[in-house]
Amino acid sequence: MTGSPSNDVPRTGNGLRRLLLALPDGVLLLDRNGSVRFANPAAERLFACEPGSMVGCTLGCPVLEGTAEVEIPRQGEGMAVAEIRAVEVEWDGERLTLATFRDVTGRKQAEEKTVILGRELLEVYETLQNRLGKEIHDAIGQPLVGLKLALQRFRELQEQDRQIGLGEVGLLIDDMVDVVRELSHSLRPTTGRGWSLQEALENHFHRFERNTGLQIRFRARGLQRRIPRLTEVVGFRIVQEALANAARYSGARSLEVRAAADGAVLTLEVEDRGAGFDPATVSAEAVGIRGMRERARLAGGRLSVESAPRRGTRISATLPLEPPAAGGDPNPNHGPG
Amino acid sequence: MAPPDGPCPEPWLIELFVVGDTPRSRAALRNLQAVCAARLGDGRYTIEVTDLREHPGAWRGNQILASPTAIRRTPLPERRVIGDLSRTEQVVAGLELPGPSPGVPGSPAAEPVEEPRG
Repeated sequence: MTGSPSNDVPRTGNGLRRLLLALPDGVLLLDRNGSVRFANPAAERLFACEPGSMVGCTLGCPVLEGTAEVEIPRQGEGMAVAEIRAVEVEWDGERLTLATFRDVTGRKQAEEKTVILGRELLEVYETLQNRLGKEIHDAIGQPLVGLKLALQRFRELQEQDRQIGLGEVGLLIDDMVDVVRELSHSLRPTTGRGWSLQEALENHFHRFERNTGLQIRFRARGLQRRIPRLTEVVGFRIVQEALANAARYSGARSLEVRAAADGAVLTLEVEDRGAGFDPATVSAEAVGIRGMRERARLAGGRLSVESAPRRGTRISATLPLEPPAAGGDPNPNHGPG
Repeated sequence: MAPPDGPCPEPWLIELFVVGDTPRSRAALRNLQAVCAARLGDGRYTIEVTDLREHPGAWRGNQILASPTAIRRTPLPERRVIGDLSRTEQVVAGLELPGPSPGVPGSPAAEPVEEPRG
């Protein structure tokens, strides 16, 4: 502490004083030892200090190039982050440092959230790429090998057998056309086709029943209304994934799907009365729940799973029918996992 | 107080207070190390780093208002600087470090490290 502490700005005039007191940024006048000579109310709020109590405290001399960020503790409120700027000023013949502190805590938190979201998006994207790679390998790569072998055999055939060989090649190509159509359908269920969510789901259920032999009871309500594209695509993918899981693990013969657009949310439920599982012991990743949960969260919604051994499984997703507010946590109640 | 002239018999102890092992903390430490090495020379100084996240009581105990803060503990009197410590001449003035180290002609501090901006 140096000099005679007084929370006043000498020779500033009332205009400058009012300006300093009203500024939203914290302003400190520091002497050459880094002791506070003056603190405006914004600085006192930022440093969580009582009015007038900062004068005489030693902050330290600011050392920075242009701007720097510092952390400031706030009692019971975590940590604030402030951006500092500092300039040398002459005040009553004395060299002082005028340091301004801009509270950027909210911006830093938003930046951190954006980074986390980016990582999650990247993870979802990578998962999708891997799945796509596997689909292409299984659905197109293997039939192509079959076609190549058929063509090799065709070259070795006698003239009289070539018609039969051509027929076989034609059948293989027909199969591949079906496979590519199926793959295209699974990649763009609604977009590019102008289908509503209900139409896309019904189409998918038809194919699903044909491929798995499982029966689906579908109940839809309010799906005629406009649904944001992201919600529509995410909703479709969650149902698609939940059905695939049920076909793989449940052992059930039939499934029930409910979809309802009520008020501000789209609710989707996929329920089976099959084997079920204990959510406490089965890894969420193992049954594809994590991917569904991430999709729901990225769309601003949430996903819940109810299951028990031999009691079946119900997967419920709630997705917003309006875009989430920018910067806000779309799903504050979302827990880990 | 003017910077001390000539060799200082007392070892220099500088304490750096940071919050976590972050780019901001690491940049401040690297900058401080570079200035001390250039101005004080090897073996004449010690830098102690206190992580305020691990020792929350150190905020109040040391009357730290913001992090990063570097405090010259010895020789007395104490001197404090805050920020990324990227300006060599300001660190020298703020901590009242002596002139160029005899063993390091010109004492050019290493290029200051600025905290990466997010």
